[in-house]
Amino acid sequence: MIKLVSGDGAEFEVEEEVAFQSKIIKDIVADADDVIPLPTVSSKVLIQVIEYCRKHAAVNSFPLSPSSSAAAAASSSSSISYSKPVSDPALRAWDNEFVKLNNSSLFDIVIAANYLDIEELVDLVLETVADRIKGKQAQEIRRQFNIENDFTPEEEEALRRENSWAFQNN
Amino acid sequence: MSRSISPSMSRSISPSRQKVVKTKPRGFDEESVSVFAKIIHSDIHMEDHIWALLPEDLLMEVLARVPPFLIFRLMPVCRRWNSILQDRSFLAAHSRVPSHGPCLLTFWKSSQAYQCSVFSLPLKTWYKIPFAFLPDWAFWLVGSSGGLLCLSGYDGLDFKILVCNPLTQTWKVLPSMHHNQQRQLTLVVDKVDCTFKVIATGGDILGDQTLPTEVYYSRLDSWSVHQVMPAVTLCSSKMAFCDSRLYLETLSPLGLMMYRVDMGQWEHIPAKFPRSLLDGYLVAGAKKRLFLVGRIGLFSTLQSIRIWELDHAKTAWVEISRMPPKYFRALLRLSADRFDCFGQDNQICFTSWNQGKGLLYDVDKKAWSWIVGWVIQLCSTQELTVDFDAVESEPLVDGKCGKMGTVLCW
Repeated sequence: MIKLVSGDGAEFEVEEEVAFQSKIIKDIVADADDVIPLPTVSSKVLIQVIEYCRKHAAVNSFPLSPSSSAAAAASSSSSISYSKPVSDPALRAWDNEFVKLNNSSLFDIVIAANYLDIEELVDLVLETVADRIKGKQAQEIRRQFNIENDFTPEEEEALRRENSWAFQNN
Repeated sequence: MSRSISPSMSRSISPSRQKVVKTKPRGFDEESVSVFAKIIHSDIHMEDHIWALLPEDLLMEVLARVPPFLIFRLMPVCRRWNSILQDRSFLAAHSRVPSHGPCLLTFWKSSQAYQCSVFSLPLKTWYKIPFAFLPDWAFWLVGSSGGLLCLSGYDGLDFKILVCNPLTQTWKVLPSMHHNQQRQLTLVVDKVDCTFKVIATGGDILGDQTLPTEVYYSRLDSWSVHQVMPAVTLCSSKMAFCDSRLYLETLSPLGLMMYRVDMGQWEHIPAKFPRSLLDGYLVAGAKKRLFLVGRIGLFSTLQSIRIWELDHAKTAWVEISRMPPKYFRALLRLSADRFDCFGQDNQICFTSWNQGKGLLYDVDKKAWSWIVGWVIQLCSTQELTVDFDAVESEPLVDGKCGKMGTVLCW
């Protein structure tokens, strides 16, 4: 068992295979620590992250079928470092439920997952953020990202005209 | 992969000897829940601008996950985003993210101009890409792969080979080959290392069979000369490329010619074609898979379009699917109607010359579906130059070098 301590002092005991979904925790434990303070992660966020890791550890612990493990071996030898999309439909559905969060909760998980280096979770939450912005108007994105429009109206219009094909199905 | 974790972090952690709570987290009771409720409440103000706090490297990773067509809609957000979205390192990151899904690229010439459209299967949307960025030459489509088009062009003096990316409106004229320029060409994009190759095979238009195979490597920007293809009679100019092998149908000797690009070697595969096969098209599948699509029984009421897969070990074609009759009848009204077929990555697309329809077969899902909004109405006018090709997954977004650009950036 590994003990994780959130920034607000709450302690969580989790199994190794759950905690090891985080690469950074795995590296730390290799240096012989079994109590790991995570000062930048609040207990609220840590509860959610542990829930995710617990679910994924349980699903990932099933032995892979020979064909999928061969595929995994083949893909890990390629130079692409992005993790593969989650292939289990039930787990994917669970993931989709998991990320039904408001923007600030999602933001906290993005930061925590990145800090803890949980590759699958980072992929999941970044994908979710991308989904939330991809269909939005520039004006709405500026508001959400608190960005000031530094184009002159003429420049913005020229940029829109140049890429007008991408807006045609708006 | 390296994310923004400070290297000092692991060192700052020291073993703690506090008493361990075995079950629920300590302090996580109703009192702390109400504290969290307050935090959530104060978040509502944050909610509006929360993404402004996202570190730059994570912002890049988010933007890299936006489908290629929608990236162009984000450019007017602000100068910083506009420059990120055109930055080489961003484009490299974008091409490393798993593809948003397969796309179909169509290119044809109407009486006035060249038309280029991309259909994104996941977004179920057509994008009509402006195609006025090329010089005013006569063009013929040679092939496409990974979102790039290879065209053969005549500038009034010489034939040239040109590769372009319609999405970024960039193009490049390839250097001259060592031998005759007018040969059968195949464009192949390698999405992993973001390079492309053009393979020139067969004899030239004068029938000179002694020309060596030439391969253009984008990274070297030059053609290298390989083995001469053994003298064979080719069935058609249709070729398929998968698993670094190029396949061509041959009549004599019957079967396939295979060119191993990595080894620069030709080999003959004596795979017998299915009986009474008409209109045989070779179609590349994912990884090593090679398909043959064709029609059986031209004037029979039992006519059907079938798909076979090459059993590499037994050197034999094995039937894997037949087009259901209702699709067949809608695609080809008359038994003499012509159809065209192309595909990549286990997606096979069928078009008919007269019906203006596109049909898709997903080999993995074993599913047939019409392509919605198929805009290309082919008619029988002979002057039309008509070519189709499909792109394997999403088009590579490469560097935008401006309208003067003659170099594709990767």
